[in-house]
Amino acid sequence: MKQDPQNTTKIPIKDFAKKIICDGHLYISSKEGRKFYVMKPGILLDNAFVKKHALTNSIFDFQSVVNQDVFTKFATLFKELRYLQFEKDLRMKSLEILEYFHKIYSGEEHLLTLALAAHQEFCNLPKDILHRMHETDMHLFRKSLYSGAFAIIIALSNDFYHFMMIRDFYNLTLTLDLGLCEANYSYYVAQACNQENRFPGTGQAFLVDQHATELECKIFFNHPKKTYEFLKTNKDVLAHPELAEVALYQHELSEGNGFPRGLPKGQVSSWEAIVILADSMVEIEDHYDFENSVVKYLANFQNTKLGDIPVSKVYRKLCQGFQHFDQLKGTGT
Amino acid sequence: MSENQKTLIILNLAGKLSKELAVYFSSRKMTVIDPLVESTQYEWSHVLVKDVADFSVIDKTHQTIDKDVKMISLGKVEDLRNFVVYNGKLVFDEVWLKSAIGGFILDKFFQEYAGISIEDNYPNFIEKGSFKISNPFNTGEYLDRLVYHAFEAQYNALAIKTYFDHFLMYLTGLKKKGKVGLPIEVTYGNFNDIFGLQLHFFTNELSLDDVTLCLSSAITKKPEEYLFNISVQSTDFFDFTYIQGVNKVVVTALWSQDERIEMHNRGMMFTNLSSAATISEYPTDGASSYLLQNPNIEDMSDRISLPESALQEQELQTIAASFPETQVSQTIGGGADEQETITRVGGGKEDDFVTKVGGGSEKPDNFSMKISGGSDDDDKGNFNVKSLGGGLDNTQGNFNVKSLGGAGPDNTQGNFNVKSLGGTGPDNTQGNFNVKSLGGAGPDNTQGNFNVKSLGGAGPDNTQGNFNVKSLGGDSVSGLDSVQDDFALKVLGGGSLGGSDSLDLTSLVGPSPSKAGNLLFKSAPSEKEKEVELKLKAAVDENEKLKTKLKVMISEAKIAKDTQNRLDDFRNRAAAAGEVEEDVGADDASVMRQHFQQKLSDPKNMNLADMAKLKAFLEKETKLIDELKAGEMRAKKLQLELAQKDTFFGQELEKLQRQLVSKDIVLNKAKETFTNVSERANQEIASLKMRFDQVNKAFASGANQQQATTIRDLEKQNVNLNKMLEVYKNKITTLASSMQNTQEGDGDVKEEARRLSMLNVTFKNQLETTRKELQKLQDRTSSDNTALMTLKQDKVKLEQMVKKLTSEASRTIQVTAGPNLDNEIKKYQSQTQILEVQVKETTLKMRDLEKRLLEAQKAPKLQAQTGEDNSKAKVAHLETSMKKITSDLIASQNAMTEMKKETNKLRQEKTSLQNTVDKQKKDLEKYEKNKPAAPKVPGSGGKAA
Repeated sequence: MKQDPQNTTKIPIKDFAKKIICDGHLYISSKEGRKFYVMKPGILLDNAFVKKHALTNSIFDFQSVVNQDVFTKFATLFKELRYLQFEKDLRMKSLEILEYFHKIYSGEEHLLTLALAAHQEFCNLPKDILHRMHETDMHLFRKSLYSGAFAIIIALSNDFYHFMMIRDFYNLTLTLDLGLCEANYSYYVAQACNQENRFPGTGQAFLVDQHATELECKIFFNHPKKTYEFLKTNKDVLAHPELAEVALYQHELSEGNGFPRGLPKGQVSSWEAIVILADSMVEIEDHYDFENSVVKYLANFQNTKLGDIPVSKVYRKLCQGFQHFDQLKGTGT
Repeated sequence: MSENQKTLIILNLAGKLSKELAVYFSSRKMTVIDPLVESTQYEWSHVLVKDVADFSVIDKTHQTIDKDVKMISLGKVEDLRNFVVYNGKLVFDEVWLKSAIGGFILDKFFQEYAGISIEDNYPNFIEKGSFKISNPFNTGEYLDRLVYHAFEAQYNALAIKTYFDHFLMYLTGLKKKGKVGLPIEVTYGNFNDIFGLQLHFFTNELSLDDVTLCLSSAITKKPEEYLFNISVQSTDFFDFTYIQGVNKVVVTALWSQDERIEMHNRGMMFTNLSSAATISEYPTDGASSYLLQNPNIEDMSDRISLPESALQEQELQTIAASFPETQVSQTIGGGADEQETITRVGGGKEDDFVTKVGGGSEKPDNFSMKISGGSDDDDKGNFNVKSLGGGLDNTQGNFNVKSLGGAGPDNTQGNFNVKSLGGTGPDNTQGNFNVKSLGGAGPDNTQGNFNVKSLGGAGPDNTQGNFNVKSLGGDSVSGLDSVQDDFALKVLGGGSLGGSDSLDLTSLVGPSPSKAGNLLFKSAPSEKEKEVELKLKAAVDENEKLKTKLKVMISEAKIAKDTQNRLDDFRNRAAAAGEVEEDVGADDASVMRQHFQQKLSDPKNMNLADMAKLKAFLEKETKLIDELKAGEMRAKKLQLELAQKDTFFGQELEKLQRQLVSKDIVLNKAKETFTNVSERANQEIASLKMRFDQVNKAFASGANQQQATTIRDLEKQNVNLNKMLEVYKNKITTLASSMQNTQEGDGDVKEEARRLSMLNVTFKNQLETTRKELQKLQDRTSSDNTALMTLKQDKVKLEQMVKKLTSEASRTIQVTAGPNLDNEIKKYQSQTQILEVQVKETTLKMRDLEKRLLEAQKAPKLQAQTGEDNSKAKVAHLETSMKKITSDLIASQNAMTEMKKETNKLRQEKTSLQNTVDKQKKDLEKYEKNKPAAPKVPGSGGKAA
């Protein structure tokens, strides 16, 4: 859904008081009637912003991108998954979620609907950490939000269907770039991270080309470790604290060319590959084209990281799920 | 193969190696050193052992732990824990080399590589499925699929299920201890006739010892040991690899369809890799566990035929291996319907007693047989076969004949009790053959009891196994010459006796049984079933006892060998001694011999003297023989003593070894606790560092607004102070310049003198004003002093008054004894005391003030005396004195105000006291007025009122 200032509704500031993440495009009108773009979807709403405009009783023009029915459906599905115990029920529920995802996102639904439902049901990060991420770079926050949503879908399609495990995958993916949220974070570090995801092993070269400082290089190479340390110290974030190790695999490859550890060949597990894939699917960018064509994007995703065997296996299973649902659609079952 | 592997030097303590193993080592360019052939010392990386009961001996001789020399056992290991404790890493029977995976297992072990997925760890395998365990109690459907797949592919599905269930529970136990992390990824696949199941998971501080300590030879009730041992014993090969670099453990279990691989030649591997490398990628068939692809599982229960007989003996249940048949069927137990497929054992004509049935009927070498109690000739006695496995070529399985009686063509009579039989085959016969009691007489005249404890079969190449004949009646059994009563023999390893040590059981039992896998023979319901069972149990117990005895017998056999050698020596010595004697009387003896030979040829020529000589000669011979026998007896006694000592020392050694092992365990635990403590400390340090960093960051980022504001204020103050500093610096510079100017020019001196005089005047004026002020203050103080004096006088007066009043009051009190007045007086006294103290204090203060005033007055006088010569110094002095004066003035003013306050207070108190005194006076007056007349004392004169 593209920005269309004409197709907006007027809403008072009090409507934003309960929201955590902006779920649409936000405009404000001047006295002369001129509209200014204030906020894009997926941005964390700041209390100070709401308070400031509450004093002036500002009225915004708002264009929502989230379908409330879909949001509530996803939220209830996730809730149901949480309270199921038996293997078959869990598996059936995970299938239902996948099927619903396929059905909804084969159309033009915005990814933020799923991302918001996932954030509501799975996020276990403290607010200050989210704000820290957002303050560092709001695009980084949005990227993490979308990556987390993808992590859920990839995990479900890879036979992980226990709520707590999926919650861990979500939180792991969400915090993966927390190590970048340093005082000296720069646009170039974020771009180097993108570059590394696109073409593994080129991140450093990019930084060298951009005349990055030594500190920036250090941040880039140590950011998985920082996230790992954060998860190790904040053990409440993950239900399975041992999964904190996964954070170290963000830029690892099963061929042994990754960093920070440069693991020997064949030591990347499927659960690590899920997080790696989910992370590499979304880049730290201002604008995304896939937000309204998610299934198409996922099915046609091309990335050098897919050459890595564990990642490709995980991706293959995701695609197999989509193919299966396509077949079901064809046969009418 | 890399260069590292080229340098591998392996010490062979296992005796002669099989052809396959020798070929393997030579193909991989590994040097195998036989200590009997080559005496040069190398740095061994591995040691090959076989049939070793105590591995501590190998550790002592080759420092397996200290030098990290890995032990490889080529035979079954009885005490696995002991094996692993002394750096035992691989249990690998040479039979494995005949399978497709054998060479690969050795490659994997020697090259030390591992991967977390099955195609990385065992690249030949094709992955058939995988699933993840997030909750150990939610595995049902995936496990069902895994078992289904194994069943469909004709693998030992029940063993796989048993392994998985038990191992998962074992891991759950470790998870509870925090040593295993979820999820657990399970991958499975197959390669030729081998099925592989692999699990991998995160670990936290899991050491190889945690796992190996759970290994035990017998199943115990301790949950960890029970679960782990059941799972290990359910596999054909168990591979445990710990990859330190990524804190992951990979556990692979293999099951083979190869019938040669049995319980006793099960393999095991324990590897601890600091950094694992994997070999090249192998293709997979692309199958995944994605359940959507194949949601339904076909019902295959109709392929399983359950036994008709109600009685099943759990202890003898074996899991039927799959057979390469068109229709897969697993038969457990058996029934009488399958008699057609049964071949006869013991030459029975009719089927009095048929048990079991196993295997398919279509394959010619399948083993199915009918066992009859009778024979063609004489059907007598009972023949009860509990379980029988065997094959023509490679006989495997358990053969358990409980009771055998009857007469056959060989006229075997009496009891024939075979406990367990590992069949015989021409190649490598292995297994246990336990004949409990065998009686009967045949053409070989085998009589009495025949008790074979354990029999490892014989092959043309390498005869292996244990063969224990407890008691054997008869002159000869094929292969064994001169076997006499009470003869115990153990044959270890082939070669020494060649093929002759093999006992051909076919001659005893009957026709050689045909090939079969693992079969279960089930006895048909009979009245004697319970009795048989009881006997069986007793036999099992006896078997175990015999096992223990076996060890003793081995030592006895050794001793027997030694005694034999010693006897030989003794005989040789005796022979040597005889030779000497012969040398001495050689001529006489020869003459005597010829003489007696001639005489004996013609007994008529024999006279008495000759007879006596002959007697003496014979007596000598008997004496010699007796001496020889006595010597032998002594030697035997010595040998027995030696054997006892050996066993005693052995026991002591075992005790010490156990103590050592226990100490090692304690040390390990201590190490663990120490590491835990150190790690905790490290974590605390790390957390402190984190906090420190966070604080630094907070400072850097300026998160705290209050701090920011204070910092800003401080910065502002700093700026102001800097400005002030600059101003003062300027002033100093100007002063310095002015000073320089004064020194430079005389004209400026006059101006400065004027300035100083002006200053002097101003100071004088100031002094005058201060003097005036001082005078005023002195006046005030004097007036205050007078006031104080008057107050003092008043006070004295009042005190006097109070004294009078008190005296009067005391008098009245004596009369009235009123308690209130007493208290009041006390109060007044205390108040007066307080007042006195206050007065003293005020006087002291006054004196101090006076002193200060005097000093203040002296100071200006001194200043006035000084001249204008020392103007600068004086000015400075004046300034300081002025400051002092002003400060003193302020202090004195304050003191004065305080004094005034005090005087006011005193006045108030004085008035209050006067009021009280007045009141008391009035009260006294009233009292005196109202006082009643004193009663008259009788006899005393009195005034009129």
